[in-house]
Amino acid sequence: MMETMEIKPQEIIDIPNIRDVDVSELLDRVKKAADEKRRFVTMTALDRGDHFEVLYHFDRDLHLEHLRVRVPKGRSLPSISSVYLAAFLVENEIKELFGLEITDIAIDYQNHLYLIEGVEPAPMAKDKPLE
Amino acid sequence: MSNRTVIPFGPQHPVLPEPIQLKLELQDETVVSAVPHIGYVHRGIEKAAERMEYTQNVFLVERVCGICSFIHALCYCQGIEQLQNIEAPPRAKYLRVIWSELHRLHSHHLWLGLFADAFGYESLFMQFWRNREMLMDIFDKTAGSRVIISTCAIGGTRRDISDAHLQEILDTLDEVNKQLDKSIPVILNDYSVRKRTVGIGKITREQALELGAAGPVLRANGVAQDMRQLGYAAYGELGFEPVTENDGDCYARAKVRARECYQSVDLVRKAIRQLPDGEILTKPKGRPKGRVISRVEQPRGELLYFLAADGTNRLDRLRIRTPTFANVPPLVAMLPGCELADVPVIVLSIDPCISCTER
Repeated sequence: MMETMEIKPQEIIDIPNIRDVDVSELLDRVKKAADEKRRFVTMTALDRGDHFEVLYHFDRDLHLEHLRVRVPKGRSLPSISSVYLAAFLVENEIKELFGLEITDIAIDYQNHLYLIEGVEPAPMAKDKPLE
Repeated sequence: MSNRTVIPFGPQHPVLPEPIQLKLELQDETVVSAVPHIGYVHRGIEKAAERMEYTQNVFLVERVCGICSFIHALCYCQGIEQLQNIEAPPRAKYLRVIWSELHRLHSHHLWLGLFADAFGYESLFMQFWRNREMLMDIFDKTAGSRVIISTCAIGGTRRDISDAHLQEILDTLDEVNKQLDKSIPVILNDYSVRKRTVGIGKITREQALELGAAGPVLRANGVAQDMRQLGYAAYGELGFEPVTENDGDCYARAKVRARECYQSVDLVRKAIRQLPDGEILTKPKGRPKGRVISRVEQPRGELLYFLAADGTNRLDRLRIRTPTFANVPPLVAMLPGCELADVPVIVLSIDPCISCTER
């Protein structure tokens, strides 16, 4: 009998300085980053099928650090714009283009930052292929 | 009797080359608050990048912006190179600096001209843009194209620059410098220009940091932060130091860009002087796998690309954060308290690139 060999998938190399946090502790962590004078750079959303992965990127003296939350689809994420006002634009973008509900955004465009009436929502979601 | 009104500034406005709207709430002639509206020309480039092969994306990301197309390609290529664990040859790194700084130089000329036009200095506008033409001609000669030059490639550069063209660049820069010496003093010293810019659209250093400002908007508040300090391409070998000013107003932002013009001229001269011989392209190997963040300095500030690849010939995710996107919240903070007549100058002072913002 031929010996079978298990093929392990190659480990994905992740970005460095990343900390996983729970949605419930997100605002406290973000407040801590603000207290430590970290500059908010941006957020990145990834559609992982059954959940969204959201990364928060902060900079201090050219050094990047990141927070990561995983949000099951159908659940919402609190806005961080009460701590970092600068986040309101990218939060609206993620809410609109991915369909992730983000609550209490300082300026909420109600899904009309980019999209107009009648356009199919969440065009960046993985189940919406580019035509 | 006071009068509170809301007026739309843009999306079509004589001072705006691209569409953005600010809903301005006014108390008589004074701005009380501003709410920005974008989305008039959004193109879905991040989504398109998931559909195209990662090698094709070099040409896609160049089209994010026609003013700093090379720098978008550079940011993307550096990210893919990190994922593939390859490094561009030394000569290619210097060529990348040369084309990057020429892009910054022509972009700052474009902005200085538009800024002059915003307060009615049409002749000065034309002088800056005439000067800029010399730089566009360099792109035409070295790349065969004026706007999307497509010289950056994964693993290095697609083209080399001949000795004859390097000499031509040096001669052109001498002339550009000479013309800058004539035009920049008007921006910095003219009574009317100072009247329209000094103390106008001011934010504090704390506001700039809290609101996530990038590039000259951040550096005009005394924050010495520029992605070129990371030493990417050949910047680490050119003794780069960021330009800063401290006043955080329209004048300080103009001054940072004016000084950066001279700095870019010096960086190109240094890069040409130190340009090593050798290959210009390292052959890419395998397919990218993993996640990486690539950061470079655009004329408008920090450009960030997040790349996620799963080992196929397509990326799982490409996220592009452009500097104007970061500078919209600081703009909202600059406007309250200003006169309506100052709004065009303040908006232009962040050097808005809506093409970048609306990837």
